Amino acid sequence: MNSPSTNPVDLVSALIDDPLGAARDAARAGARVIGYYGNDIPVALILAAGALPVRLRAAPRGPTARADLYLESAHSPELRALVEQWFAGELDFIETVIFPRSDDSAQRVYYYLCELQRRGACAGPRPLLYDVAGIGRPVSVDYTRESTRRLARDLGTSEEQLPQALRRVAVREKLMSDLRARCAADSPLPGSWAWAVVRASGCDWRETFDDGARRWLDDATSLPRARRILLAGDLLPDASLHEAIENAGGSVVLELTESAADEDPASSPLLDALADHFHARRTPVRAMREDAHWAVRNARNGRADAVVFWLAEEDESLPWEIARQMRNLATAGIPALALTRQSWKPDHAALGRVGEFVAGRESQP
Amino acid sequence: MSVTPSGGQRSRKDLACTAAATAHQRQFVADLKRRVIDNGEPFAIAQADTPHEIFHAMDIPLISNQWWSAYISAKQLSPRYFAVLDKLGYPSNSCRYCSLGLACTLDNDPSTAPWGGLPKPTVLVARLTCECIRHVFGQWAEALGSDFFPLEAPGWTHKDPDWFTKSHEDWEELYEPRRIELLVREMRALIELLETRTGRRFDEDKFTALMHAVNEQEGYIAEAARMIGAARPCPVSIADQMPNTMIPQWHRGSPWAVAHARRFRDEVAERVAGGVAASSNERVRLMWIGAGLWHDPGFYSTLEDRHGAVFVWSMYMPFAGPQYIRNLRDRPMHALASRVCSMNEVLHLPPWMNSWMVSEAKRCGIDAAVVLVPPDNRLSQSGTLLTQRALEEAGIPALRLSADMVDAKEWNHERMVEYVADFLRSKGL
Repeated sequence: MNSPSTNPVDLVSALIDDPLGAARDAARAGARVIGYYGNDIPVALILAAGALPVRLRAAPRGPTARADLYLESAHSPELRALVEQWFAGELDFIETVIFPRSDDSAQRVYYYLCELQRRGACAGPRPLLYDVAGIGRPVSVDYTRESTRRLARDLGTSEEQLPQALRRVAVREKLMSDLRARCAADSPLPGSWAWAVVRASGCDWRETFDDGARRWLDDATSLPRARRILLAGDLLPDASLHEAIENAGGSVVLELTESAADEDPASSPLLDALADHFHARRTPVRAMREDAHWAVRNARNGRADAVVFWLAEEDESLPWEIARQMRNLATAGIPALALTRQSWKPDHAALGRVGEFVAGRESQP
Repeated sequence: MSVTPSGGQRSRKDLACTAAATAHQRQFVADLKRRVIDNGEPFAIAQADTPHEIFHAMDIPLISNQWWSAYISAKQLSPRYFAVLDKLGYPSNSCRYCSLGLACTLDNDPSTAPWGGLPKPTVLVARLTCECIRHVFGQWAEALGSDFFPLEAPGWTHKDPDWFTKSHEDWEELYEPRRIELLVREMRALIELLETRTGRRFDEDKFTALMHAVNEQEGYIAEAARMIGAARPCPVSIADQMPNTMIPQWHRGSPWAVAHARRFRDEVAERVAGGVAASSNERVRLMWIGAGLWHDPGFYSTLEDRHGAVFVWSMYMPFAGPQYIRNLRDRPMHALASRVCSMNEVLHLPPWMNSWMVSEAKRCGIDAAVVLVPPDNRLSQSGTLLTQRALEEAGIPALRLSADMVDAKEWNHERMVEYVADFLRSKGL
């Protein structure tokens, strides 16, 4: 376990290797730990319930025999790995895990786990669903507000503690925002480093992480001139794709694989405002659906030399949007590579294709 | 039995009412084509799990996406349209079942498309039950120059495994008041949109009468399902069960649909009373879990004829009772919402799917189950492993069949028949 005095690089590395490490140690010390899946869960509700949040992350580690008994082939491989951990008892120190309705595979896994627990096939944390609605109508806004109040009730969230919790989330978001700005600078931070810090951040919500990451950010060395790459699509389980890009003379200057967080703390009434924020939140795929020129616009805003799309085999949303995004990138003269139907862990062939693609690009003057 | 160009085979049908149903559907399709194509009437495209009752009550022609997909598939056009999607850059693992209509529109070739292709609908409607729906319908609406009216598919936390025993009376608690209210408000907005765009009015009295008629119709189908489950040997093949359930279902609440459901019930009763069997050598009673195998309906008949393996159960008919019949309680719109707001969930998610399937297998004296598992389709795959295990724990062997309902690309009739036969032999059946 990393102590607050640990070197920030080691701190991040430890969380990449063992995403549950910090939370597990906190639980051992008596903390109440609540897990969440994905980036579309209001972490402030957990903090205001007096619990330590931990974002559940998994990496390709090995067989998932027990999860395979229940999860069909089209489920997200990260969820499959997490269900395997669930069966192995690795999540038993967590009181509750929140799954988002907005993620199709995750919400199905919520039902599976509830049923498996009912049937006595597994134990583990209490599964909860954050039932956020997805349509831009007032009735959906109302529904999401009620769902948010319901989640707050289920977690034991204190409305009195909510402003402080929102400020805590805002501090973390500011750190992430500064990190993104450094990646997008003329001399960018290596995208692989940013990937690691972002990935580790959800796994450790203690202030010591912010302190360490801030120190690391202050001291981090930027790359000299690099080809600027926009990476979009699905979340990657490791930094190998980023590293392949860097080895070819590029760097990911803008990564759009999850919803962007709101940097403005919600205003009163807090729970409703929080609900409205999550109802309106745009995942990249949602943004692509609403804007066929989304990739072009972001590539231009990020002064990207090229775009790389990474789509996992199990993704059922992005395949419907990729074609027109690619067409519009071609029309705009922005080089783009779409890697579709990819295995969760990037394989050698895919990394080679990315490397060749990036090496063949020219930097913008 | 004749063979389709893709190697699938047509099914054998025995009931007189089956011919009447298909004749009615042919006439309906001709009328629909005349109204939509020739007369340019306003019409809608909607998923099967949407409130069709609203369109029926407003006399707005409705084309169900699933029916249109099956229609395209039956005309052997699926390979052409899947190739269109490939050519346009859609990855080949994108969901097939819901996208044939979109592909047909994107192909934009009136000389090939059924009816010369669909004209601009008033609206497209779908529940957001899976991740691809919103993309498919959004792009389809854009290609047709129309609008997509999505309906939420909210989470469902009141998880009652015995839902099918309570759904007629206790629907409000079972399906959750907040979920019902959400859909009621969405349906009110849809009605407003339809009234504005078509000039047709939504008549509450007419709608209430329709809801009563749907109850009567589904009651007949439920009665037939009970009789078929209890009879030995099975009196009606799956090839007769499906059209006599689904064709009236597309027209639910209409005088024809109610009368046809009654006629079907009566014909089933006659066959039960007369000891008539669907198969001359019934040896094994099977359950078919999943959507119909639309590109090879003869698959079922071949198993019956060669191996005495009779598909006693498929979801469409027994679903009519628990998921459609509602005590209206003077709140027909809420009753309709309770029917629609979980139509997909009970068929594809635990605990609803597995508990119902096990209960139905026991009711029907099922010896083994065959589970359709379409690759690359999370929604249709969902719950199948849990259901398989639940069936096996109840002593009912279950076989998973990796195949798509409308894409025959990986399908081989003979190989699949033998695959099932081998499974049955391996289980001593």
